[in-house]
Amino acid sequence: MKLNKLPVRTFNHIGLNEVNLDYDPGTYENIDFSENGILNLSGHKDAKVTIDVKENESLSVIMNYEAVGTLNVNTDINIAPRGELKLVQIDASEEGNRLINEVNANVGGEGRLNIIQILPGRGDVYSGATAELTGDRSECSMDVAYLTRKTQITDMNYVANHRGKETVSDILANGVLKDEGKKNFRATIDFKTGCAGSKGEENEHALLLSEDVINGSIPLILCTEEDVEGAHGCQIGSLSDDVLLYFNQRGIDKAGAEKMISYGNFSRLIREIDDDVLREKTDKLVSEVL
Amino acid sequence: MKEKTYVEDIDRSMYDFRNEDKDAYRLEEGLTEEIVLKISEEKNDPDWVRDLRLESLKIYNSMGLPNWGPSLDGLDINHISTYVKKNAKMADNWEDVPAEVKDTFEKLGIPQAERKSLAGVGAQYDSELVYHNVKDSVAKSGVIYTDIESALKTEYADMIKEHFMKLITPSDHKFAALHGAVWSGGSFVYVPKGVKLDFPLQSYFRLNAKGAGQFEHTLIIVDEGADLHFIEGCSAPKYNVANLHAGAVELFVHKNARLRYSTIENWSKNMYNLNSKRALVDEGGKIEWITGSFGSHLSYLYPMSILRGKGAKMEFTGISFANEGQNLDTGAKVVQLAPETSSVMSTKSISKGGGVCTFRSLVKIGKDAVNSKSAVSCESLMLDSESRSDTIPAMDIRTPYADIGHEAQIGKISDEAVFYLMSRGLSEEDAKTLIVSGFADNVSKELPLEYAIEMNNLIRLEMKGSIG
Repeated sequence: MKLNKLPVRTFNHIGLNEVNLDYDPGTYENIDFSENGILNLSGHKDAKVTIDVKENESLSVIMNYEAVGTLNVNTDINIAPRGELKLVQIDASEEGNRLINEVNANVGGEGRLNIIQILPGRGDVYSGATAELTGDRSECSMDVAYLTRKTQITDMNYVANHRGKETVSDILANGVLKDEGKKNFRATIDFKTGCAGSKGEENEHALLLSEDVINGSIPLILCTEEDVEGAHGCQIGSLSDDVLLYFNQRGIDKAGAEKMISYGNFSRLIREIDDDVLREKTDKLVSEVL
Repeated sequence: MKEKTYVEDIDRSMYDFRNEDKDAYRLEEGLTEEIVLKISEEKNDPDWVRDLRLESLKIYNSMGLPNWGPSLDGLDINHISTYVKKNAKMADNWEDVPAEVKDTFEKLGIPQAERKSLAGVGAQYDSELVYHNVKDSVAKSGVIYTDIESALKTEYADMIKEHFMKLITPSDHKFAALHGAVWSGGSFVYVPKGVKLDFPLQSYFRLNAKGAGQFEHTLIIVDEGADLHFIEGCSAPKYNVANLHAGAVELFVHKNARLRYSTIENWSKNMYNLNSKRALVDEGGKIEWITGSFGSHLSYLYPMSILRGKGAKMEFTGISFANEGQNLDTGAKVVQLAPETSSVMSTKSISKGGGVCTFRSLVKIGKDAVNSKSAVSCESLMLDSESRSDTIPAMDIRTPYADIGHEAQIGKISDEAVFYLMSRGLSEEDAKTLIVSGFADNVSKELPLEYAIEMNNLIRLEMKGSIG
């Protein structure tokens, strides 16, 4: 199956246009989860999850993934005008399993979508989210923390399509690559004609901790509207000497500094888990993996 | 509702004049083995060049069109004549160049520039060079500046064979293969060890023939510790059928050498500009690309730098201006393979009147490129909502010991900046003109004087009437 397709193709030899995965989905299990709470996805194989957020409604949904073999989850979200959804997705899969996670969302006028993905890295992850900001003044944020280690692959694709007027998007990925980890990060802000007054921003910080990692990044801005503001920035590399000196002066060595910063990427998002038990469990998982 | 003011188009009249195809030898349209062999015969190729042409043709026929980038549907090689030669021999004196050809280059200001500020000039008209000359003082320093065909008959033949289409190989992509099959004209430059030229060399490529292609090959070798500024200019009159430019530029920058390669591309709006440029930089060497893309109907252009020596450097400074009917897909690539290499890309683009600008780039940092740096910055200005501006930067990083930064911005002219300037007495129109001039300033200040003036004139013309 083809996954994580870049909205606009580029040089083929860099291998970032899409992923061709050796996986054939079976029959999808349909799950409607339009309520506050935790959706545990363990023991599933192919699932289609639907989340509908009604007008003026505010929902907080946690999707907790525990893949056995391959877990393939497609989530369709519809947010009615002035609706709000905070969606936290946690990959708590055991070592060596594979997660395919795809989100497609439509956000109505003045609606708000906040996607948080916590990907602590015990198996391959293919994760993507596309937000259609169709309503005027609709907003979305996609906030991701990942760790890619051993020979793991983390392949990501986030897209914000600005269609309504004065829409806002914010895509942020903070991650760490260790061992022989391979990561691809695709992010697209697409300002469609008519989205006057819109703003979009995408940022990436990737900390590389091994000589054998492979980091791929491709942050796109596509624009057919004059009255917009779009920006992207990225910083890729190891900790600078200044940062290491700062930690060293406080008695923390290089390994300790790297661990602290890696943990910091996750802890900011773990705090967003609206469930004490799952929050503690995820925190423990991240600490163990780091 | 805010009223938009009119922004004028670029005045292209100085480029749009044309000559009739009289006194010209023109091969039939299309691309066959017979045509390739005719070109080879016409040029009296050595065997290895003829073999390379035939091998390239095979590769061309086996490759598909790119499945990314602007559509090439409007380009049909069966309607392109790949070789058109004016009935004139290459001269080293403008008086010996046929009158209408000389007149063409006079209008483009080439002989005047040669007299004022250049160390040497090459002028190509359709498929062949019609003029090549280098100042005596430069020639005495051992600098070779001639056409490749002539150089193949000198002691530099082996040097050319060693480098020709080794950096850009026919199998790189379909249009590199096309170039390998039908190339003609272009320049060979060799700057010996330690020689630093005070003035630039310039090649100007003019494609006059309707429905024709130009496939010049530029091969430059800057030896250890040497320094060269090379300027490339190109233009064509506009026709109602497609013309094609698929040149190749191969640059070898040796240890501690520096090469600045400046281009102002001003092809007419029926031109498919599918050019390939590549530089190989050794230890301590530096390649500087200065590129202005204003013309052509459609461009695929991404100069590539391979930094293979420790401490090698690359700087790319570019501006693109796409107007109605133009789709300019431009950018740069850098591959950093050695320790302590560095690259800086800084680009600006302006889209107007339905024009499309795409910045497309690749930064590849290899495993051995420890303590290397790369910084990419691109800014795009949209002057209306009929136009399009895309930014597609890719990064492939394979060492943790590199510092990689990237930033991009897209937007319109800031209301606050206009207000600030107006509060200090400028009219709204002047304020906006000043802001756009400033937007392009980092590129124009890097250009040779005559090109900077030309570019600033283009910007001023664009901004006359300002932006609503």
